[in-house]
Amino acid sequence: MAGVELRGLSKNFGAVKVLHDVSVEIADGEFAVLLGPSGCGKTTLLRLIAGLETMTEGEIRIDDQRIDQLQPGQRGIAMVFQSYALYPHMSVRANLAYGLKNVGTPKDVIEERIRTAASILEIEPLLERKPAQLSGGQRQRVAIGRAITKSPKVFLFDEPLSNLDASLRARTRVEISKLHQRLGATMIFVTHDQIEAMTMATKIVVMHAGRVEQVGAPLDVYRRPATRFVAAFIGTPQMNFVPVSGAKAAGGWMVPTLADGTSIDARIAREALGEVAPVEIGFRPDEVEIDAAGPLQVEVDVVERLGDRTLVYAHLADGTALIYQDHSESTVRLGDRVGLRPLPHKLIAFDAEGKAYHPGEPG
Amino acid sequence: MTTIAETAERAGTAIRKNQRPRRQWIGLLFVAPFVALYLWLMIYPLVTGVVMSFQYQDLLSGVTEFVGWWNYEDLFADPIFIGSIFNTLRFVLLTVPPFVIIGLLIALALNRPTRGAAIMRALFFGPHVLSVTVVTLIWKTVYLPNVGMIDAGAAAMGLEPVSVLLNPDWALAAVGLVTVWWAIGLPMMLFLAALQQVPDDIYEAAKLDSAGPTRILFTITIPSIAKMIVLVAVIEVVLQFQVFGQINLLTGGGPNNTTRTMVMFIYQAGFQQWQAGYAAAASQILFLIMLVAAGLQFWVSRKRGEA
Repeated sequence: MAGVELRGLSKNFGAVKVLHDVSVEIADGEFAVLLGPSGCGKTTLLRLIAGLETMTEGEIRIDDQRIDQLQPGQRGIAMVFQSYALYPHMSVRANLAYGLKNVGTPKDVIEERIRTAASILEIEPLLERKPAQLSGGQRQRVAIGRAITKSPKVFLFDEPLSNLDASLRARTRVEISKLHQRLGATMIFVTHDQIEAMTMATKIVVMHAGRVEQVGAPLDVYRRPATRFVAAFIGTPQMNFVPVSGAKAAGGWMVPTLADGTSIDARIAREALGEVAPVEIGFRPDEVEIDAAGPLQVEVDVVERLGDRTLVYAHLADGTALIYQDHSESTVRLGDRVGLRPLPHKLIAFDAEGKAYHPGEPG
Repeated sequence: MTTIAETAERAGTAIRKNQRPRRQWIGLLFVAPFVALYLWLMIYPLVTGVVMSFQYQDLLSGVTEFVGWWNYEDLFADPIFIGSIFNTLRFVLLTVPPFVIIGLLIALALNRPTRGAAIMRALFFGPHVLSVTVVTLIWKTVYLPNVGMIDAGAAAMGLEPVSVLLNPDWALAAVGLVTVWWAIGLPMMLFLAALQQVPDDIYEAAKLDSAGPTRILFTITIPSIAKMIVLVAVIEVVLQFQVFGQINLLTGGGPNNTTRTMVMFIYQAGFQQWQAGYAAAASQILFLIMLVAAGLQFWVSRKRGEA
């Protein structure tokens, strides 16, 4: 098992630069998820690691050895494709054995590896079938099995769950997490689904427009997003953003003010911002207190009663849309006027560049 | 007392009973035009051909007479006909393997999205749109004794003229070369179509599985297009068994009957000697041989698929 180190990776497709100076370190045994919207470069990054694309600049190391000059088969990696990419003319057994045969693995070792992988994934009864005779979920298992038999240093997954139906996806998510614990292998998993990222990852790499926005543990990324993009991308429903016209200082804290002059309590150190003025504040729908005298006065547009809680879609007088969470017994109705007070110790501020400022010690 | 459900069910059965035969008739009505055309244009001539093969038919005098197996007995006693069977088989063996192998190699070489590959594809397919007359005219200038490209080249190097079309050892191979040059475009296009159906990610998976280019060709590419290889082979066998135009125009069956194939024989029996019954009997034998050859190929490929 081994750690993966990406140093200053860039990739151009013709004149289009799809990856800008990406540097990430993934420790041995970590489950890293590359997360981002379509076209952010996450799959390209995975394919660079696999050796299926050549990079323009940079260095890739596995186990402290440079591998970016090696052929895909020599890099000590195995990949599970989005479409599974099973060899359609071969039986499941032959699919699992193919990679090992190609490097001259002895027959008994191949048999042993297939047996182990098949028992881990419970695909023993399928070994003699062809891929066309398998269901989507079974194919997925075989694709993972093909990766396991190779005992790679690093597993790469390219959105492997996107072709499964919702319930199977949830189940497979749990199984891949279990597999990670059982094998203790380094895994790199590409997805655009933040639920997959939050539930499986030990480290999330959030990508946007070919750049790494933030690297961190799932809850860190959720609680302390580094940028406005990360704050908006992670979390369902999305974080609320309210434009502010400036900020005052009070007792070392920054006090953002809305365009109409209303002040909002926050616990962001005034010093942290320096000369920078915040342009927006952000808070999650559940990080708000319902208070008739609150600084944010909203009118309710839509009420979603989810059983365990109520989601309320509303807007401020200037038209800014907000979502807040109310308890399940809430009697709020369409057209109601409600006062909201964002929890000061949760409130985040953003500057014009989108950089986030978090609550902390007063300065 | 009957319940509502029972009544409804009974009503349902009644409707079904009434509708089933009517629906069948409507279905038949829809296929009837096709069935009629099929019977008239395919089955009727086929049966007529079989009947004719048991008749003595002189097209000039109009005499028609049932003669039993006489035509067949005559055919198998005719050394020229037996020779034409072997010539046809030789021609099929000379041309079908190059069609499959060279067609596949060209397709593999040109299966890339470059402009150069597109131009080369057009060039290889080009001759296929020419008529047999044009093709043989082109190749006549190559094969012509003494003044053709080959003989002129041989003379320039101080060698004896070869006169390939007059040489019993070379004439059939020369016609085979013309045929492959002329018609290689179709196998190439069919193979290209099949190659483009193979998803890229399988090749990527194979690369990650440490397979080199040769191993990928034999374990991924060829098995993935196996059905097309069989199809091309069957199409070419059926086509080349019927070779006629280029032989008729290049050699006329000579020299010394070495290029006289079965369709040449049938043509001469039917349209030069006006022996329609005799020609029909030879056609039945050609039909049988083609059926056996194509069936054999299907059988072999299926066996291989099971293994």
